[in-house]
Amino acid sequence: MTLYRMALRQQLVSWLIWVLVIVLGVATVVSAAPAVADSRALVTLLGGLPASMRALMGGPLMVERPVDGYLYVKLVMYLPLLVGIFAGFQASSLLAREMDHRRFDFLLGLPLTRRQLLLARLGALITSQAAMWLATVLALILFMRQQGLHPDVAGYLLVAYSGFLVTLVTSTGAVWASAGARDYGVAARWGLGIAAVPFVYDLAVRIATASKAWRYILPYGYYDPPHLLLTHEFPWASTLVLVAAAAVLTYGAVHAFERREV
Amino acid sequence: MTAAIQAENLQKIYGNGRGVLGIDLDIREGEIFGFLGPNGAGKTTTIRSLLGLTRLTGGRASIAGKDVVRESLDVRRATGYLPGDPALYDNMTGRKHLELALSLRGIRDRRHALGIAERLEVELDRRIRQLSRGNRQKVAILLALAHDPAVLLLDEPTSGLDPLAQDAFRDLLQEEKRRGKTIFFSSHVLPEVEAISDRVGIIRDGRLVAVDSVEGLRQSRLKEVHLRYRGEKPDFTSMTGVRGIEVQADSVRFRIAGGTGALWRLLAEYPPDDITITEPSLEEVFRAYYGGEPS
Repeated sequence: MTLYRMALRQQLVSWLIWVLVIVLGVATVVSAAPAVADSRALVTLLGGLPASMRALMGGPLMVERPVDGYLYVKLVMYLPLLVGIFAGFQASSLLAREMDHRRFDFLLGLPLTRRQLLLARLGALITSQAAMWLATVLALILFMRQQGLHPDVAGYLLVAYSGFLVTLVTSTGAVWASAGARDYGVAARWGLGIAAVPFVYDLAVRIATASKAWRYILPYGYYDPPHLLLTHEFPWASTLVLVAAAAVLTYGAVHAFERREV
Repeated sequence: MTAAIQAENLQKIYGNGRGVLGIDLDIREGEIFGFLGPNGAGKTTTIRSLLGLTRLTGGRASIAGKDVVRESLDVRRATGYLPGDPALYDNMTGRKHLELALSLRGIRDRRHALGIAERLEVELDRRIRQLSRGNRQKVAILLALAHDPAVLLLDEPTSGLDPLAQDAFRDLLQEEKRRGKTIFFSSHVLPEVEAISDRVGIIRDGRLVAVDSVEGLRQSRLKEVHLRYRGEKPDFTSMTGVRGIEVQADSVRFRIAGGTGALWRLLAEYPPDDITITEPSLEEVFRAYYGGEPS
C-alpha cells in the first residue's frame, strides 16, 4: 500500500492537469449541444452519408437522440484516445523514467520484489484512469444538466466503464513497452503509439469496406457508446476480452521488468 | 569468524566485455573492507551484483549466508545499501524518504534512524531538490543505516561530504564496526580507505588484483632505503630483493622488497651514519597496481 500511495501521489499533478484539459473540452462541446437538441438537419445530413460513415457518426443514436449522437461524434468517441494518451505517457514514466534517473537503486535496495514494485505502480495508474473516466463522465452529466439537457446517467456510466477497459489495455501495453524500452524517450513514444495507432486503425476499419470483425483485434473495437447508450446492456464480452488482454500484458510487463537491467 | 560476504568467481560481463570478470571475496563479520579502484574498474557493478540488483553472468555470492540471487529479499533485509550517486525523489523530503524506507521494511521504531540523522546533521524536513549534493548524500547514508542492518554496502559513501561530515561518518562506521556490523565500501579516496579499513581489495579492469590489510599491502611493496656513510660501504647488490641501487660518494639509495632481516644483519656489520626507510603509502601501493611499477 505504501508503494501504491507513493505512485498515486507521483501522478497527481499530471492527472489534475489532464482532467482539467478534458473537463474544459467537455464544457466546450456540451455548451453547443442544446443547439442540436431539436435540429433535424443532422439527421438529414446523416441520411445522405454512406452506411459506414453513418455508423461512424453514431448511426441510430444520432437519429433517436441527436444530443447524445452529437456528443458522441464531437467528444465521447475520442475519450479513450485522450485518456489513453495520458495512460501511455504515465505508463512510460512509471518504469523507464525511473530507470533513466536510476531511482530504482533506492527502491530495489529495499526488500521489495520487482513484481511488487511494478504492480503497485500499475495499480496506481489504473486507479488514476478510473478516476479520470469518472471525473469526465461526471463533468459531462453536470454540464448537460446545467445546459437544461437530460443526461442518460446510467448510459454514460456504462460508456465510462467501457472506455476504462480500453485504456486498461492501453496502459498495461504501455507499461510492458516501458519495462523493455531503452530510455524514457523511447518509452514515451511507445506509450503514445500504443494509445494512438490502434485508434487510427479502428477508425480506418470502420470507414473501410473491410469486414468489421477486424475491429476486434484491437481494444477500440470493443468501445461502442451508441450501443451502450441505446441498450444499457452491460458489456460482458468486452469485459472478458479486455480484462484477459490486460492480464496477459501485465504478465508480460512483469516478466520484462524482472529480466531488465535497471 | 563466519563470512558475512562471500563471492565465488562473481561475474557480470556487459556486452562490451567490461564489467566484473570473476571476483572472489571472503569478508568476515565485523570487518571493514575497503574496495579500491578508479572509475570504471567495476566497483559499482560488484556492489550491485552483491545486492542482486543486476543479473549475474556467472559465479555466485552470498550475504549473511543468503544467496544473492535465490534469496535476494533476505539479502536486502539484512543489508543497508548506499548507491553511488544516489538518486532520490526531488519533491520528497528526507523524512518522507525515511518513512517510506522504514515502512517498506516494516519498522515502526524510528529512534535508531533519528539518532543517526542527528549525528550526521541530516536536514530531514527539506525537499531533496532544495538540498546540496553533500546534504543529499547524508540523506542517502541515513537511508542505508536507518534499519540497523548487519551488513552495509556503501558505494563511494563520502562523495560530496564536507570534511566535518566525513569525520562524523567515519566515526559512525567505526561505531558500527564495534557493534559487529560488516562494512563493504568502495572508494577512490585512499587516505579514507587507509584510515578505517581492516582489509583492502584493489580492483582493476573487473578483476581483484590484491586483497590484504593496509599494512600487508604496504609490506608487499618496495620500501625506499637511504643510507649515509662516511667510511666503507657494504655491497648491497648481492642482497635478495634489492633493486635500483644508486651509489653516491657518501650515500647509498635503493628499494627493497619483502622482509628486511638480511638488510639489518648487513647493517650490523657496516653501521651507517644515518638511515631512512620509507614505507610506501597506500596511494603508492595503489599507483603501483595501476601504473605498472615493478614490485
